[in-house]
Amino acid sequence: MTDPLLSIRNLKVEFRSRMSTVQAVGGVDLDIYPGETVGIVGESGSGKSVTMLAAMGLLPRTARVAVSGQVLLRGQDLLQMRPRQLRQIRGRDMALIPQDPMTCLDPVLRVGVQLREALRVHQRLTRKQARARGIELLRTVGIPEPEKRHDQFPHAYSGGMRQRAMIAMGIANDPALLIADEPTTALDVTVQAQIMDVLRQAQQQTQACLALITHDLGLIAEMADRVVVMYAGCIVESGDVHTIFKRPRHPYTVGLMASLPQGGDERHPLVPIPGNPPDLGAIPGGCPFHPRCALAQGRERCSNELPLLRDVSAADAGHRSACHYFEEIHGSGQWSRLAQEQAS
Amino acid sequence: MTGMTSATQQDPAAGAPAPMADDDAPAAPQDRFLRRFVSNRAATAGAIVLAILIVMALAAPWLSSWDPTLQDLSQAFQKPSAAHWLGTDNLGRDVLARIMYGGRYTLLIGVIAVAIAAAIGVPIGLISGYYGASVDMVIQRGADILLSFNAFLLALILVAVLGVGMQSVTIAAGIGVMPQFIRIARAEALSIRETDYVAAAVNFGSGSGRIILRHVLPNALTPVIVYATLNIGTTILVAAGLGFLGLGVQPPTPEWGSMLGEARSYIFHAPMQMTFPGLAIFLAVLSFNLMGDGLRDALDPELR
Repeated sequence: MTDPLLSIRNLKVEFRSRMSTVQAVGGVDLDIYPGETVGIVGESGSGKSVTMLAAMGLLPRTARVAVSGQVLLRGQDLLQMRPRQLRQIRGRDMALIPQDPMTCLDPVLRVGVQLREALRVHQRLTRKQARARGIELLRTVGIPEPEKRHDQFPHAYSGGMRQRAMIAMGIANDPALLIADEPTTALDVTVQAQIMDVLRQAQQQTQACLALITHDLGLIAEMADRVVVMYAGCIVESGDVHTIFKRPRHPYTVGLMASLPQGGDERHPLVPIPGNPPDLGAIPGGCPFHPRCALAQGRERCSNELPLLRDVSAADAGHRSACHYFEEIHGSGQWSRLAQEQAS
Repeated sequence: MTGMTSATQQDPAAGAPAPMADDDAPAAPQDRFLRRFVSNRAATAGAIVLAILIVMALAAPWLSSWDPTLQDLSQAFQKPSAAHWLGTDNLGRDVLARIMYGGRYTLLIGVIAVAIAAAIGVPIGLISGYYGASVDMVIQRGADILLSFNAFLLALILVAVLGVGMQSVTIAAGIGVMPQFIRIARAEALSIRETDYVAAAVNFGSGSGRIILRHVLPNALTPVIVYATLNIGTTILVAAGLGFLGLGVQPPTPEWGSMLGEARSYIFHAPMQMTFPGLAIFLAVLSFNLMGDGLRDALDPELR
């Protein structure tokens, strides 16, 4: 296998306040290989966005935020870099497409000017060249009449178009890694599919890796090659997308899938995961998921010993789970049975 | 007077070669702004009064046949008459002519002083607010010291250093109101710094200087413009006050403040001589304030 483009080792992020310390990310290992699409899934507050923000050095560097571990981009540790070096990498080697397109464009600048800014940070371009490239980028992301749209202010853009414009800014400098942080959550369902198409095309054109942060499993199934499931700041399961969807080996993943609506199928009622994600200031001891887990059933090992991520089987290379008892998991039907038992 | 909208369009960066193509946009923001401004009667009145004062100042040689510095002691202390509409002063000079010519100095000092205040105060304030931490601390404590003097006192100290004359009065009045521009710009930078578009610019690799220039400054302009307009009244008062004390523009130049100062000795004998320059200052300050309020309401109704 080739060397990973981005390799995160034992990344920990803590937010400290006077009252308490919150561990948002607790030791994440993650490799992203050239050309692949990695889906990072988890509930709100599971640490998926913070992991990527920390990797890009976008968390404020103050005493209140403690980031430790390694983030290697082509072997260079981003966490050790000076702000100036990091700035040269952001946007050129790795670009983050932010979450909310409605607020990410500066309302007082024309979209074309903002595109030009993104371009000129890393490339020497004349005004004319930048304009031509800007229009080309807008065309790439499927904005109609790009010449006209280039000179408009963001208020003349719809939500979907703004997200397209953000993607255009993201791919402006042909980054090797694109990170899309919930690129479709703020958009209509009908527009979501279009945006994902745009993202996929943009990725193909630039040959970039894509890290897709989302809580939408449908999106992951559609887009990703590999899936990483996060819970309470840790990776609980990772593996090839088909394997994970066919044979999930962590009760949290199984729970996520069971809580996915499946249009009108009465044999598969919606089964929510009981309880709430833990308070990151007080993550339960042992397996962080055990209070909500149908498999734990009060077993001591679950509440005492933190399960480590380990290979599920020799046959499934790369499929790893952080559950002491993943051998007991067979399928989602079993989960709903267990959950119903637990509820009754 | 199109305020923020024109300011953003004059932004050299926004001068894209193609014509503006906003035809399917709701309503051009500048139209909405103009409509809101005109519908505000007080602001319109202020603008009209100000326009009259400006025209009088600019067209003084054509509007009045009197030389504002021509003395004629035999005609001193005349009451308003057909020849001298506002009467004459202690040296027999035509008061109306002096007020018209004086507007050139007083209004100009007011505007330039505010321009100086904004040109120095806004960048400092933006840097203070955007970088925060120790930079902010140092700048804000400096501003605190300046703010502990009132604008007039600060200007008075500066005149003591710079000497009398139009130039130093303008600078002094400008520096006098500058600390408040630091505060306003800082407050804006503090909130703009947290916006998603600044975060997006950071993550596409923009440096701090570029972000301040491209994103923070244009977005901070609205309140700065409103505040600047409201402050022209203050700088006019400061400059006139210095003139009144004899520290401003020197006689025989007809600046409104120094006219007041000259008339002071004759306040019981010829109250008219003092009334008209005072009225002129009052009208100028009032019209700038009304306009400033109107601009604020028209540019950003939420600021009200």
